[in-house]
Amino acid sequence: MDGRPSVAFGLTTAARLWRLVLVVWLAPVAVFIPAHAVLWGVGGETLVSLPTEGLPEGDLALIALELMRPTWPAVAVAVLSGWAGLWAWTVLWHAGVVRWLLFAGRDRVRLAEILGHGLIGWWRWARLALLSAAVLAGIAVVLWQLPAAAAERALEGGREGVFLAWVAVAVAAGLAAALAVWLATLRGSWLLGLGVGRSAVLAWLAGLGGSLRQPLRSLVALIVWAVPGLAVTTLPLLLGSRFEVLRGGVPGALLEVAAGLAGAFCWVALFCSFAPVTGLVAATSTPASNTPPHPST
Amino acid sequence: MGYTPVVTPRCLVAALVLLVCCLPAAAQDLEVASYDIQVTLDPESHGLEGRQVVTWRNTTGAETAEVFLHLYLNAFASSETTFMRELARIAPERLRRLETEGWGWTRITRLALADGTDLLPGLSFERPDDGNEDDFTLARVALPGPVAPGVAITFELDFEARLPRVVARTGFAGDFHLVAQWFPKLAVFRGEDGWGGHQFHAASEFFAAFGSYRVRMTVPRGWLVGATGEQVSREPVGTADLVEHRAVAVHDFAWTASPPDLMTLVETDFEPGRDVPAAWLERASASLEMAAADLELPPMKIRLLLPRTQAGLAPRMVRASRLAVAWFGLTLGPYPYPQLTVVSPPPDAADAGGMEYPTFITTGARHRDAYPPWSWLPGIEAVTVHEFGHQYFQGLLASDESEAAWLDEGLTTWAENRCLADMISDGLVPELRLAGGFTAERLTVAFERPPLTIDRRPWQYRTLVDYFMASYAKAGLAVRTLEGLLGEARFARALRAYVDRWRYRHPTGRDLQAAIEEATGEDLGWFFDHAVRGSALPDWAVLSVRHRSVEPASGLVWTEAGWREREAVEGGDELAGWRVEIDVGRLGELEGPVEVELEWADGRRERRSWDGRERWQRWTIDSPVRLVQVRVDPDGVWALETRRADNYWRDEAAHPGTLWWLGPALRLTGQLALPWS
Repeated sequence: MDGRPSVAFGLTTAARLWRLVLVVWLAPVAVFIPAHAVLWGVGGETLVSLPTEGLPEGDLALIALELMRPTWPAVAVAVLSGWAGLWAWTVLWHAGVVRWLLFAGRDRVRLAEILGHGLIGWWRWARLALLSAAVLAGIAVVLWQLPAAAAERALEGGREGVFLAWVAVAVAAGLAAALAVWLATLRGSWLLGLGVGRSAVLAWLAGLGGSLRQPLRSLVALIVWAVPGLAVTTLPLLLGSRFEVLRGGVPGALLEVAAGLAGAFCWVALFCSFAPVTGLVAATSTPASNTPPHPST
Repeated sequence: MGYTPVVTPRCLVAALVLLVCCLPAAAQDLEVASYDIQVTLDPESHGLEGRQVVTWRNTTGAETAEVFLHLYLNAFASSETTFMRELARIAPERLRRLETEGWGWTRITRLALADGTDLLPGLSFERPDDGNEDDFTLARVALPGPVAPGVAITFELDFEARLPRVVARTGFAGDFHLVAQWFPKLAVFRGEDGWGGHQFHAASEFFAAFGSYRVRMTVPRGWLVGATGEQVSREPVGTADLVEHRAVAVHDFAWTASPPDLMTLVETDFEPGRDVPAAWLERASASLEMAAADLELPPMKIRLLLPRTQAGLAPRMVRASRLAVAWFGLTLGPYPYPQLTVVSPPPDAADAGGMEYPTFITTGARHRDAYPPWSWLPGIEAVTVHEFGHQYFQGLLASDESEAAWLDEGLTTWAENRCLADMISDGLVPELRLAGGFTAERLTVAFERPPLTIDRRPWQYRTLVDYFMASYAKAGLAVRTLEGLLGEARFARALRAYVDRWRYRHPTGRDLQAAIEEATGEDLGWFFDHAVRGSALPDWAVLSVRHRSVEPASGLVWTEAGWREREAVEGGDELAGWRVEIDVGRLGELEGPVEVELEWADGRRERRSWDGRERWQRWTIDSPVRLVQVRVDPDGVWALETRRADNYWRDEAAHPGTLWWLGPALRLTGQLALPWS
């Protein structure tokens, strides 16, 4: 039960799901409103008062410290809740898209239907997402315990070449592991929809196996959508720091909307690129099979 | 290896004569405590066996019938010494390292006057600072009779010692040996105030009188040796090498010995024609008001010992050393010694790094410093410049670090940051991309609780962290603040005058104050009393800014024709503009002058000065346009001020989009949720 990632399928599906793209763009704006409000309350007045240029050396860092020291718990809670909200929302639309695309029919797009499917399947997909986070944390611990400890021993022994080699191994292994976990999660989400063992663990493992069997195709799909997605998300900051006209105001807002929409499109396309389009979708998405395969869901 | 004469004794005598001639006022202070030492290093046990002949001259006006000796290595003898008790509070792992790899200690086995009088029975241990009976770092030796002013005594002393595993400033790590604070060393006699010795504390360094040193070190054959002064000879003795070094006009002697498969030696030089940046010479000439010819620096030798694994970093270390020699030479006067030895310890001896001894410094680097992003950081340059800076404030001026560490550490921290800033702004170290001037010090001092007094004995701070915060960061910022208040050129001349006057003479904080006051003609008691000898902090603020539209005046106006309606005389009722009230305040306890910059809507900027004595100051200004910005201390002169958020005011309506970046930045961080969803 597997399919090959398809960039083209991701592109066409994301285009069809343009309403979802809109919501995916709006969600980060919404979930970070509390964080925005807290940060504004903590330092907005002060930061607005700062000169845009010509601050004496070290003033900005000092002011940031002065503002954050008494309020960092509130800021941390606000930002973390924003991240948690975004995570929960991403799980929801992932679950919704999978269930809708695989079982609810592909001819007519209804946003409410997708979100409804997402709500119903949320916990199953959340388990998958939590599993991927746990795996990543475990990998981080292992990397710290083994290569980092070896590097430390090498350093204590004066073998700096060995130390650097271990650091390089740890960094490379960490990056590879992060990519593998991401790919396994993307693929596993779809396999979970297909009911692989009704288990998030099995679906995730199957996703990992599929990614390892098709590493190049999987990586291409990831890179084609994730790199531009991150790039356009960064664009308002980069351009704003360079061009004053793009800092706030109508031009800045337009740039942010455009970049946000483009980013949302990339994320939806990325996820849909991993839909098992070769055979399985067609086979399971006939009108006759317009129900989830597992009664429990 | 055969006899290798490097510097003849005649050269050393000539150098001493030169030093003495250059400094007639200090000549008598250059031969107070002189040592002739023979020592053998056992590389297996990391032990030392030594014999020394010490000549001490009483240069004070009082007589004494005792001498005090520092036995610094005994600080590493147990967990209960004063040093280890203090160190273990913040670095217990270093104590554990000693427990597993060996303690350090020293013992005097023979002590006698030149005429054979045995002094050993009169040896006792003193604990003036804390009464700790487990501390054996300060010894008192009773003499058979008083030593009158101007009289010199000579005594012979045998000692044995064992180096500790490196935990702080001295010791061994594998085959690497940094042999510092290793010989029984005289404290400083202060005349009527007696001997100024203190126990060895984790939070204090050293203080000693100037003298000359002849040290003959026996080390395993072929081992690399670096040491204070210059190598006079090296010759084989049995299976070992005997290396002789001599140094004049110094107050300490440190050395290092390691096998050549561990360390490598780079012998190079400082050539002023090649190594002094033209921009620096020009700048120094302008600020010091001295002709460039008068700022000429002498050439000198640089010996760099570094681990073979760091050989690729040698060019950067050499460049940092040369630039440091140039910067300090131009700023504070020529480095008066013919050689500088720089030691970069191997990674497992990192705690031996970042230390200064006369003409001998230890730095610190990692192999990774050759690669980004580490290569972008000024680690190598910062530690090299800092330790070389000590050659002036600790080496030449030789203030008492056990009484006032800030005089050395604070001035050196200031100089390090200024030198690094010049290196970066003049593009002399192209690799550097991340260096923040005094930012690190300002952020550090922002954490002080309660406010710390800079001028106090190092071990009397509540914690070691407080000591570092006050003596390094806060003292450096105090110097920077003083520089800002006086102006860079005036301060440069004043500091130069201080160094010129006090080299070889152990100045105190009041001597520094007096020298700067004399050079600038300003009474700086308000600053030193409160910011250095007190704990007052500066804190300025914009208290409020109020705009009121100015209504046209109403009523009658007197004319030649008598009283008439003002409107009829002056025309329409257009607004005359704004009456702006600006209140700035002093929230801190430290008083002093501060600049305030006002920026108006038409782009005009003006500066106003406030003496900062009262708690607040109001300016009422009529203007045709609104005030858009107020900056208190716009140039950051008050580097000591760490609460800067309220120093700025801006007309928010004029700049509504200042926080444009907040939303995009938050949403960007939100992308972190994607891979796990």
